[in-house]
Amino acid sequence: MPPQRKGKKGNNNLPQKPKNNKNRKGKSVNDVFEADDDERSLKRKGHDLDEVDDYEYNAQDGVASEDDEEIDSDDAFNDSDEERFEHFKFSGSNKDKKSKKEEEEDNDEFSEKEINMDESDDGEEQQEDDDEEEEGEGYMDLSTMLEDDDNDTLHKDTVKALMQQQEDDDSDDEAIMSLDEEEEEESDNEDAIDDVKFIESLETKKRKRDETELAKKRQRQQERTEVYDENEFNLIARSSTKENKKLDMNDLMDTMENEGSFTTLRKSLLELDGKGKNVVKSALEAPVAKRLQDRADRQAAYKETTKEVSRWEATVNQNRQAEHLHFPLQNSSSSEGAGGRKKNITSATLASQFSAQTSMEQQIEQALSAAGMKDEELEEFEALQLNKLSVEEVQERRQELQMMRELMFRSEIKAKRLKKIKSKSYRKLQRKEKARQELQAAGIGHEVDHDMTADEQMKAAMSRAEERMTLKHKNTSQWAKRALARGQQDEGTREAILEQLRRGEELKKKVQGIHSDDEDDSGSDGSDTEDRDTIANDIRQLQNEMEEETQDTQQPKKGLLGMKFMQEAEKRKLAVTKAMVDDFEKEWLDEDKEEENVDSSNGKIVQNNPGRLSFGHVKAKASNPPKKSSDIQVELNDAGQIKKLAHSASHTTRTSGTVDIGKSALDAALDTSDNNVSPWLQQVESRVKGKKASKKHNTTKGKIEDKAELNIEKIKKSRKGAEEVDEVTLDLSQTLSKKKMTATVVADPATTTTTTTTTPTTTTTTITKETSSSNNKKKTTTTSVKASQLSDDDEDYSSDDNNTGMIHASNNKVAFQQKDLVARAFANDNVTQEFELEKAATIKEQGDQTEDLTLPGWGSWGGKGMKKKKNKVMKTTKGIDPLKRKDAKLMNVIINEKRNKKIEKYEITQVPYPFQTMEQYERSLRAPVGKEWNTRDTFQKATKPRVLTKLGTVINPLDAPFK
Amino acid sequence: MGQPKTNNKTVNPALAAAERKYQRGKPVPFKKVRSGKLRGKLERQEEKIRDAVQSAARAELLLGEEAGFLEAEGIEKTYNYRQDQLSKEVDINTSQKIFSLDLPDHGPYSVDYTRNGRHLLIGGKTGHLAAFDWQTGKLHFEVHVNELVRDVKWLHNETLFAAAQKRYVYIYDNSGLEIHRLKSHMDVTKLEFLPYHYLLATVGNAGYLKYQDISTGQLVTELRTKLGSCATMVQNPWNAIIHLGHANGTVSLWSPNMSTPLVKMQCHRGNVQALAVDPTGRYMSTAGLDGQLKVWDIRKYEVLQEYYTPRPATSLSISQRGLLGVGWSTHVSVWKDAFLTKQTSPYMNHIQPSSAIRDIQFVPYEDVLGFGHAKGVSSIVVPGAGEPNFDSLAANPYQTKKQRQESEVHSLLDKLQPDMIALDPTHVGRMTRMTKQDIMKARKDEKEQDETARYEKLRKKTKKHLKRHENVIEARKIEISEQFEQEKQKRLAAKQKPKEFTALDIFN
Repeated sequence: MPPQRKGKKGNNNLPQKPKNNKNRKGKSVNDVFEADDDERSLKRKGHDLDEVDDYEYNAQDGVASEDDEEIDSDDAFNDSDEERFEHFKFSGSNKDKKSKKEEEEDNDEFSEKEINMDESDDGEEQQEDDDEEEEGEGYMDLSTMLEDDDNDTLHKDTVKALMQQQEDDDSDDEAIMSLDEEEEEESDNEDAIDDVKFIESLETKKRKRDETELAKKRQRQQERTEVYDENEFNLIARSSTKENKKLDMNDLMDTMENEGSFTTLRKSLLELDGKGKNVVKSALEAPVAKRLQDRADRQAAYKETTKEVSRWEATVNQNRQAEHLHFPLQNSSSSEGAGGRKKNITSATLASQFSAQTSMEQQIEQALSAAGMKDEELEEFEALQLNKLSVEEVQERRQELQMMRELMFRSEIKAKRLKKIKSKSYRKLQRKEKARQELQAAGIGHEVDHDMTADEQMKAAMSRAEERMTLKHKNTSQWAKRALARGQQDEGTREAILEQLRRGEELKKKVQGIHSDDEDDSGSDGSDTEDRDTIANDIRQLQNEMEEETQDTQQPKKGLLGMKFMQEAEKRKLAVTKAMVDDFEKEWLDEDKEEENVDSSNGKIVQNNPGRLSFGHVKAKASNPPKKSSDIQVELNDAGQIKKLAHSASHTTRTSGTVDIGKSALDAALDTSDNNVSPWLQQVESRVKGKKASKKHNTTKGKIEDKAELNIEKIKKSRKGAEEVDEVTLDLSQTLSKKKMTATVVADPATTTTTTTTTPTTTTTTITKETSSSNNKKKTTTTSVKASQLSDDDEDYSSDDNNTGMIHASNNKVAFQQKDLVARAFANDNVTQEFELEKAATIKEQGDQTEDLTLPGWGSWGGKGMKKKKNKVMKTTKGIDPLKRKDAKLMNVIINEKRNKKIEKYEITQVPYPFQTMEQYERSLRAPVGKEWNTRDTFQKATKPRVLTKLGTVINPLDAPFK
Repeated sequence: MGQPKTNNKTVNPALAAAERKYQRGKPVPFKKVRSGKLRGKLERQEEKIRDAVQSAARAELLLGEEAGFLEAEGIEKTYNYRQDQLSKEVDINTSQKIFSLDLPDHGPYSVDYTRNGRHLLIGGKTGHLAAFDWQTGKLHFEVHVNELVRDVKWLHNETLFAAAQKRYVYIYDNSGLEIHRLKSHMDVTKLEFLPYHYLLATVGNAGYLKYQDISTGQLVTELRTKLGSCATMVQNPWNAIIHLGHANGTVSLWSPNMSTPLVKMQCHRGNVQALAVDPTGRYMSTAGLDGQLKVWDIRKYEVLQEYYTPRPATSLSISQRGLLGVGWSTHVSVWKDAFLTKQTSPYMNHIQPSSAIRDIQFVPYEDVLGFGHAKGVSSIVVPGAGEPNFDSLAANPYQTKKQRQESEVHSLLDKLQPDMIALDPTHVGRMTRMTKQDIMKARKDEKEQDETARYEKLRKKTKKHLKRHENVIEARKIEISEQFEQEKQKRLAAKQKPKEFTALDIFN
C-alpha cells in the first residue's frame, strides 16, 4: 500500500478502529498469524516483540528508552497472553475458559491448519486485499506518522538502527517486516523466517525472485501492526502489575515522564487523576439527564413556593374552620367571620392607652405628677440612682440579692421535705416544740396579758391530766409495756399491773357513768309519756267522732241508706268499731302500766323500741316461722288500703283448690261482719286506728308484723313452684283497693265494711296474723277464711252517686256473684292458653330452624326391614334464642323479632366521617334543628348559611396577612 | 369534660328544671378526641346544644298560662262536683263550654276534635254527620248520609274528614261534600289518622288493617290481623304505631312495614272494648269486657295499675296532661295521676242520664271533655285536662285561614314516609347493629324466598284464571245488580228530601 495514502489518513486512525475490529473479529478464528503468534510468543518471549513495541511506543510518544523495554518484558508476557485469551473469542466455539494446556493443544491444531491456510490463501487473497485496504488506514498510520514526523530526528535514528539490525540478521523479509511491524507482526516475521529458511535450503537461485514474491505476499500481512486486534476494548496496560488492570492514565503517562514539553499537560492530567496541586476530584461529569434535572428544579421550586404559601396557612385554616364567613371580610378587629378571634384586651394595653379624660382623673394625674410619682418619672429616678452607684456597689448588691434568693429557695425545699415526713414521733416532737414556743411567747407577754396566760396554763394542765387519765392505767406506759413484754413477772409487778388496770376501769366507769345514766333516763321517760298522751288524745277524738256519727245515723236518710236493714247494719258496725276502739284504748294504756312492772330479766327488748319488751317464744318464732300459713297475701298499708296482694301477680294466678262460692263464702263474710269472732279482723281494725292514733307505737308494731308477713311470703314463694294445681284460674287482681282511712273512717259505714271484707278477697286462704294480747304475748294463729270477692251491682252507679264504683267493693253480695260470673264466663274461654300456645309457636318459628336436605328414598332400600338412614344432611338456619328474646320474661306478651326491612334504608352501617364513634354521631342527631323544637334565635343560628355575601359589594381577594 | 357548663348563676330551680327537660341525652366527651377537626366540631356542637337548651329553658318564661286542678277542701270530694255546680263557679267563658246537644233520633254519636281542639265532628249512627266550631257555635255543615255511620275522623285539618259508613269509607270536605269513596276500605268500624304521615288507618269487621295515604291517594298497606272483627283502634301519638284491641282480649301493635304485629299483648280475658294511649307514648290504658280497666307501661309491656269499672268501659281517652277519661254505661269518670300511683277515687264523675256513652275525647288545649252518647253530644269541663300553653307550630287553636293553608303546605313538605314508622322512632339515622354484609345476606335470602313464593302465587293465578274463564251468567248476579240500582235511587231520593229540624240547627 502506498505510504502516502496511509500517511494522509494516519491521523484519523482512532475513530476508524471499530470498523476494523468488526472485520477482524470475524476472521480471528482462522487467522493463522494470530494462532502462531500465541505459540511463538510463548517461546520467544517478545524479544522481537519488545523491540517492536519499543519502537512503536517511541514512535508514538516520541520516547525511546530502555527502561520501557524492561518494564514491558516484565509484564507483557503474562498479561498479553492471558488477556489475549480473555478478549478473543473464537466464534463458534466457547473454549475461552479452557485450561491453558488445552489452549496450547488447540494452538497446535491451528498450527497444522496453518499450512492449509497458506495453500488456500490464494483464494482469499482478493478479499483480504480489499479488507486490508480498508484496514490499512488503521494499520499503517503509525509508520506513516513516524515518517511524517520529521521534527523528531531521534525517532528516525532509532528506526534506522533497528533496520540495520534486522538487515544484519540476514533476512530481507524480516527487515522489511520489521520496518512497519507492530507487536503482532512479530509472529509473521517468524513465519517469514521459517519460510525463508526453507526456501534457502531448497534453492538459492530462485531466491531473489521468490523473495520478491514473498515480500509481496507478506507485505499484505505486514499491515497488521499489533499483536492482537486493535480496538478500543483492547488497550492493554502493560505497566500495571495487577492482573486485569485496564489501561489507565499512568500507562500512557509513564513514557513522558522526562519530557519537559509535556509538563503542563502532565500537570493537568495529574490533576485530573487526583494527584496534583489543584486537585480536581474527578473530571467533569456528564450532565444529568434532562428529566432528572427538571425534577430537581421542580423540587427546589416547590420548596420555595411552600415557604411562600405556608405563610397563608393560618389565615386559610382560620377561614376553613370558621363556622360562618361574611363577605366582604371585615377588618380583623371586628372579624366574627374570620374565626371569631377577638382582640386581646389586657390591662397593659389599657394602661398604655390611658389618658385622663374626666375631671377626677385629671386631678389625680396632676397630683401624681406633682408628687413626682408618675411612671416615667419613677423610672427616671431609678435609673438616676443606679447611675450613681459604683460598679462594686452594684455587684455587692446583686450578690446580696442572689444570696437572699438562694436562702429562700433552700428554706422552701426544706419546708417541702419536712412536710413529707410521716413519722409520728417527729410530729409529736414538733407539736411539743410549737407548744413550748407558744408558751414562751406567752411568758414574754406575761405582764401584758395575765388572764390569757392563765387560761392557757389551765388548758395545758387539763390536757396533761387528760393524758394521764387516759394512758396511765391502760398498760400503755413504757414500764408496763416492758413488763408485759418480758412475760414472766414476779408477783409484785403483776399485781401492780392488775392494780393499774383495775384503777383504769374504775376511772372509766366514773367518767362514763355520770353522763349516760342521766341522758337515757330523761330521754325515754319524756318520749313515753308524750306518746301516751297523744294516744289518749287521739282515742278521745275518735270516740267523739264516733258519737257524732251515731247521731248522724239517727237522722233520717234517703234512698238505700234510709232503709232499715241498712241502718241496722250501720249501727252494728258502729258498735263493732266502738268496741275496737275501746279495746285498743285499754290495750295501749294498760300496756304502758304493765310494762313498768315487768322485770327486765323475763323479757327482751323489742327491736328499735326500748319501751317495749317481748317475752317467751319470740325468739323461737322468729327462727321458726309459721309453716302452716300458705296463701296469705293481704297486706295493709298505713291508709288501711290493700297495699299488696301477693296472690294477684296477674290474672293468671292460680289458687289451689276450687273456688268455694255461695253459702260458705257468704257465711264467712257475714260472720266477719256480724261478730268479731276473728281476732285478726279486730286486729286489722285496731291496727288501722292505732296507726292513726300514735305513729310511734305503730311503726314498731308494724315492723314486727311486717316481718312476720315477710316470712310468710318467703315460704309462699318457695311453695309457689310446687303448688301448681289449678282447676280454676280466677282473677284475683281485681281486688278492690280501699279508701283512705282518714279520721272519718268510722263515719263511713261502707268503708268499715270494706275493711272487714278484705279477707274475702282471697279464696281459701290461710291467714297468719299476729295478735298482741294484753299480756304482750305474740301468738300466731291460723284461721282459714273462705270467701270471695265482692263487687258492685247494677244499681250501684245509678242509685249511689257517692260511690265511685270502680274501686270500692260494696257490701252488696250479689255483685260478688256477678263478678264471679264474669270469671266463670271467661274461665271456659281458654284465651290464656291459646295465647301461650301462640307464643310458643312464634318462638319456635323465629328460633333456630333445621331442615332435612336428604332426598327421601335416595340411596337406600325400601320395603320391610328398611334401616333408617344414618347420615342425614341437615341445614340449620340460625334464629333467635328463646332465652334472649325480648319477651322472654314477659308472660303475656309476644314481641316480634323479625327484621324490619324497610327501616334499613334509614339506618347506617358505618359511622359517617368525620365522627369516630357512634356516640358522637348520634349526639349530633339528637339535637333538633327545626324551629318546632327550638327558639327562634337558636333556629336562626343553627340554619345560618356558612357563607354570607353582602349584596352589591365588591369582594376582594384575601389580603396577605404578613405584609 | 364534655359536661355542659351549667351556668352557676342560674340558681333558679325552675330554670334548672326546665333545662333538664330540654336536655337530650348526655354530652359526649370530646377533649380526648385526637383529630383536631372533629374535636372542634364536637366542641361547637356541644356549645350549640347547650345554648339551645338554655334558650329553650329561658323561653319557658313566656308560657304564661298555668294548669290547675279542682281541689277539694275538708271532707269534700272532687268527684262529687257536678257540672252544674261547677258552671256556677267558673268564669262565663268556661261555663259556656258545658253544653249538651240533644239529638235523640240519630244517636249514638261518635265524636272527633281537630288537633287544635277547635272543631268538632259528630257522626250519628244512623247517618247524621255534622261539624262545627264548637267554641263559637258556628256550624260548618250538617248532612244526613242515610246510612250507618260507624266512625268519623278529621283528617289533617278541618277541611277534610273521613266517615266509616256501612260499606265504604268516604271522605268529605268541610261543606259536607263527598270527595272520595275509598272502595278498598270495606266494612270499616274504626278510623284513625296519622297526621305526620298523612295516613288514614282503618280497621273493620274483616279484620284487615289498611293504611291509605291521603296526600297521594295510595293504599299503602293492607295487613291481615287474623284475629277477626276488630272495633277498637287507637294510635300512639309518639311513634304512630296503631294499637288494635281484639275479641280475644289481646292488643296488637302494628306498623305498616310489618305484616305481623310488632307486639301482641294479652291484656284482658274478654273482648277489648276501648284503648287509649297517652300523648307521651308511655302509657296505654285498656278496658275489657271483663270489667277491667288496666294501665300499661308500653315501653316495658307491663301492667302498672288495675282498676275496675262496674260496667265494661266503652270508651277511653287520655288528656294532654294525663287525665284518664273513662266512659262506661252512662258514666264518664276522670282519673287523675292514674298511671304511676294507684288511685283510690276518680277525679271527676259525670252522668249522662239514661244515655249510654259511646265515644269520649278530651279536647286538646282545653279543659273540656266531649263525648257522644245515645241521645246526642255533650261537653263537660274537666279542670286541668288540657295543655294550657299551645304551640302554634304544632297546633294553633286560633289559626286563621292563611295560617291553616300555610301549615298545610308545611306539613305536606315535612310529611314522613310510612316506612319510618317503627316502635322506636328515634332509629332513623341511627347505626344498625348489623353489618353491611349481614344485611346483604339477609336481603339475598329474602329474595330467594320471594322467588319461591311468587312461583306459588303464579300457580294459584292459573287456577283463578281458569275460573274466570268459566264465563257463566248467573241469575243471582243480575238480581243483585238490580237490587243495588234500586237502593241507589232510594238513597238519592232520600237525599233530596228536606231535612228535619235538629238541635244543630240552632247554630244556623
